[in-house]
Amino acid sequence: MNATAVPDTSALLPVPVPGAPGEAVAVLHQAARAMFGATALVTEVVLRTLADSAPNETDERRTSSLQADDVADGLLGLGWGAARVTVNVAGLAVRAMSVALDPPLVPQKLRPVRLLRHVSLSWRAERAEAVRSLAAWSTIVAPAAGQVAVRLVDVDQLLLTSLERIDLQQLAAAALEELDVDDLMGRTVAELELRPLIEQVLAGIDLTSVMKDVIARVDLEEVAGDALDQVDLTALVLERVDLPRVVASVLDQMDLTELVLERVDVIKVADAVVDGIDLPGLIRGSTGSMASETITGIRLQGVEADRAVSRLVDRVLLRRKEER
Amino acid sequence: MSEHATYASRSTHAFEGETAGIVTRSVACVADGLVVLVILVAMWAGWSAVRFLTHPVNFTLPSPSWLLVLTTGGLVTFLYCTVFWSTSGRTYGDQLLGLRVVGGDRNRLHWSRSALRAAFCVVFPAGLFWAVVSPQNRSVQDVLLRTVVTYDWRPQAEPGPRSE
Repeated sequence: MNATAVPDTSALLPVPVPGAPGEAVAVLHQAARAMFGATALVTEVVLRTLADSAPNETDERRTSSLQADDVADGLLGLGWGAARVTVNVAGLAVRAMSVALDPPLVPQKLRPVRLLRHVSLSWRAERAEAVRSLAAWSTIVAPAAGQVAVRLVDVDQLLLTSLERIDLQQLAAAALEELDVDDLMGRTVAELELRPLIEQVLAGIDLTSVMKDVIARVDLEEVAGDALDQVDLTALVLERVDLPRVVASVLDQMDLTELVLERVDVIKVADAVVDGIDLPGLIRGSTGSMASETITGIRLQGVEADRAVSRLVDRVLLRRKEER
Repeated sequence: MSEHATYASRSTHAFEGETAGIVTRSVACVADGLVVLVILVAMWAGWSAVRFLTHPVNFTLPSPSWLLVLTTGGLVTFLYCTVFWSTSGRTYGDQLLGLRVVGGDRNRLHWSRSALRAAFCVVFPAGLFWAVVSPQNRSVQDVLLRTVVTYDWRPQAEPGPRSE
């Protein structure tokens, strides 16, 4: 069944010449061989079917079955010899018949071969229509014939035998070379109703255990690392995530004060803040400002008191202001 | 007067540059007196410490006589006023009340003039009260030594020649 191993035997066959005596002999040879082959095949199938269908057969019956095969082979050998003799005789008859059909010394119009050629040309003209009719008939007959053939043949055994003789690897490789697998898969996927198929598959699978197996076999860190290397995660988060909402939600769920007191060295932070601030200068400035305001108040009150005393003295001494 | 006008135009308050009255000057004197008192107490404490270190067994707090206290107080006041009037023109009490002691030409006093004024103030402190009746608010010391006590709230004195 290997396609590459089958030799092209067409060149070995003789080219038929219409109307030649050799052609008729060759046709007879081939027909006889075909008939004999068909008969032998049918006989072989019948014998094997009878032998295999016997229930609880014993070694003795097997022995008898082998004897039957030998008998069948003997009969077939005799038949083959008889057929060869018959064909040879038929060849002589055909040659004689060719002389009879195309006798010498007889006018062309009266020779029987001319009649045969006429019949041959008519057949060629009508052959197409005849083939169509035969095809139609075959269409009708083929199913029934197929069923009959299936009944006669042990299909399983035939398939097993065929598979044993076929180099499946080579066949698959050759088929894959010839096929456009991508196109085929694309069309198949397009024509399939994937959703129910997937649902059916998923219903039959324990996804949890499958995922556990996958996780156990996969280096998740490496896979995640490779995926993250190919993704600008920051840009993705900034684009897709509502950050204010996320942050607000997180803050709502957290006691930030407790977290800070628990996780942050507040004293250290306070020391750093104090170091960063000129606290003495700040205190000095604020207290200096307060002291300055107090001193300004004292000074202004002193000035007012001076003026009040001066006015009083001026009145007592009856002194006018311009005299000062 | 031109310098006075110039000074007044630079001052923040309109009254700055005017001669100070008896109230502010008296409060300034009280503040200076407290400063001198603190200095005297510090001296007494130092003296006590020295005595304790030299005679720890028979140590008793020193009890100076009034004469010694007055003499020392007068001397401290003299030095205190001389130094401050000749340098910044104002003692601590003057600083507190925003006053400055200057010459008649509104320049800072020379140390000799400051020393004379300080000695006069120590010997005759009542001369201050002449400022009450003086039309220009000048004390006896100011009249005799031609000095003036003015309102001056600026942190530093105006640079210029010292008034002899």
